[in-house]
Amino acid sequence: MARIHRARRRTALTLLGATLLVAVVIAIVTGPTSISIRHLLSIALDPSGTGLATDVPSSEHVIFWSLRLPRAVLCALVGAALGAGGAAAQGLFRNPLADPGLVGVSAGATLGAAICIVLAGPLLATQGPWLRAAALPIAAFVAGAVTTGLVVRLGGRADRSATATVLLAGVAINAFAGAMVGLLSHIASDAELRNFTFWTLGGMSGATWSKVALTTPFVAVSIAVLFRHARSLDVFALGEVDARVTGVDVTVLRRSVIGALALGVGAAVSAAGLVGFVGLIVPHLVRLWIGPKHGGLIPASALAGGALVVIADSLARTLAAPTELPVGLLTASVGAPFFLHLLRREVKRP
Amino acid sequence: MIACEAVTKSLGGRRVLDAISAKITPGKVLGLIGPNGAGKSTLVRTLAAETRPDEGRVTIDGNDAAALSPLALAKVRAMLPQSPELVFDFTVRELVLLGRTPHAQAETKACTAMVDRCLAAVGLAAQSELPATSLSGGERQRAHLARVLAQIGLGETGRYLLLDEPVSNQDPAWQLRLLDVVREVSHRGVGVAVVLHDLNLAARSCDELALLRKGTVAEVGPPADVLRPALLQDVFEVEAHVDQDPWVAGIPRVTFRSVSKPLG
Repeated sequence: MARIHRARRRTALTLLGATLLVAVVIAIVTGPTSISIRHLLSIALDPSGTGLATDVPSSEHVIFWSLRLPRAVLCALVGAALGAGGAAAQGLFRNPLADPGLVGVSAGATLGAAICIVLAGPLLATQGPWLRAAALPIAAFVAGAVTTGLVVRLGGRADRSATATVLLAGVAINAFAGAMVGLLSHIASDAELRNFTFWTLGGMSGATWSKVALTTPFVAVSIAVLFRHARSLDVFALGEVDARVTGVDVTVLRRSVIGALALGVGAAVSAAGLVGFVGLIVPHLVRLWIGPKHGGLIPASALAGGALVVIADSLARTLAAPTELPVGLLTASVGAPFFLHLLRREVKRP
Repeated sequence: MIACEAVTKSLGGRRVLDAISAKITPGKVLGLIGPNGAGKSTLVRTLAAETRPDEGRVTIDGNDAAALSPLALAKVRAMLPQSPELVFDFTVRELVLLGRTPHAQAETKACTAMVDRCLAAVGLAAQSELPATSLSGGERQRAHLARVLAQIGLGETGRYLLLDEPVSNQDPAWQLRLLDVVREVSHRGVGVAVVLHDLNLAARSCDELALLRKGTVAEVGPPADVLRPALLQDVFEVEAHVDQDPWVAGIPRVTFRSVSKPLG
């Protein structure tokens, strides 16, 4: 199986990469205005739109370059961050049911979003359009990072069970952030509450190139850091003590992984809200396929997560057209039953 | 040489090691024996520099162990705990390969060959592609032993191997076979410390025994000097009888007399 695992890793990375590409193409051609594959090619090869064939409407050019491509890329980035983050979080917490949100980043970002929408809303209304658009993701990102930092500080004991303590601190801080969000919901106006609720369900409708440009470095650094620690995460499967005996600096590993989660997942959540279940289910599925070694698991989960969110978003745009469903609604409503099915199958296995 | 001098360690308010001194010599097997709670496991973890002593210090080849990084330590010594853990479906081969992480950055041919020899040494060559979690308790213990053997390059001179009850889940044949492997590894220049409960197994497979009592060394020396009836009776609080091992000349054999009281 080690050999099988290795062969499968290579096949899986190729297949998932191809799937992601196909998913992006499908996402680009589907929608209220469909773009034919022939048009797609000539549009894609001509970003400026000056040398377009006469039978390609310029509206398709605008839809491709300004709406669908940035949106598909953002979906892929968000899914990649959640997939890779989930794989690393499950390795760090030595639990296949761990979610990257366990370190507090999602709860913190949610609180940040709630503060921004409910408390800062009236203030922001008088500001320029750029600040109004940027305030929510920035607030979510900063609050997610601060919360994760708190979890690490409060849960960081210098003894052997430090990872378990971080987990417990995460649970407590998640609950506290939840309570604060509840309080803010209580004082929010109906419109604010609706805004906030939609944010918590995830959505890509605001995707622009500037959002892509802001998100990309965080996601890239996050995945690179996680991938760099892949071998240490493998050894971590032996438990904290044995990992240290086998040469892993456990403190460095824990800080790097949690830091990378705060960056990557934080950026994903601030760009797209809460897109549920991707970080939990994608690495779990990929592990069943290619085995648990993180050198394959982390990049494969990034590709699979990206493809899943791109597909889910295409469905979210088209299922109830002309309105858009929140993308988190799709990932969770399809992901949860599928996950339950997997769990039942695993319980039955001897 | 790994040496600890006047090491004291308390766990949960109990003094587990009390100004204890011990050393592991390259090419020799040191057996740690003694009743439950005598401090054998804590001594092994202290000598492995996995846990820091409250007082006293541990040196590895003359260097202060507290100053060495986890990676530097992992390159020279391997330790098998009493109950090793593993999550996720790693195959047996992948598990053993984890032992090579301090040394190799890539899965080279030499590395694969080494893993194969370690698997063969513990009798798991045929099971190498199975998920490690599907093995029986005894097989899983052997897989983890293969992992720490891989970490010390299956007996590279100058390495150290610390084993905490490595044969507790083995049948009699595998107990003997595994300890033969450990002896062979030590003959290649590895310093070994091994915790054993079976005194006769310890007598056969160790060059020296250290008999522990309440965090101190009651006696240390060749098996024949340590396994004396009066001393054993004193330490284990059970009547002991010592005669000759019928299979190996010059090796003592210990039997204890049952002293159980009926259940109240």
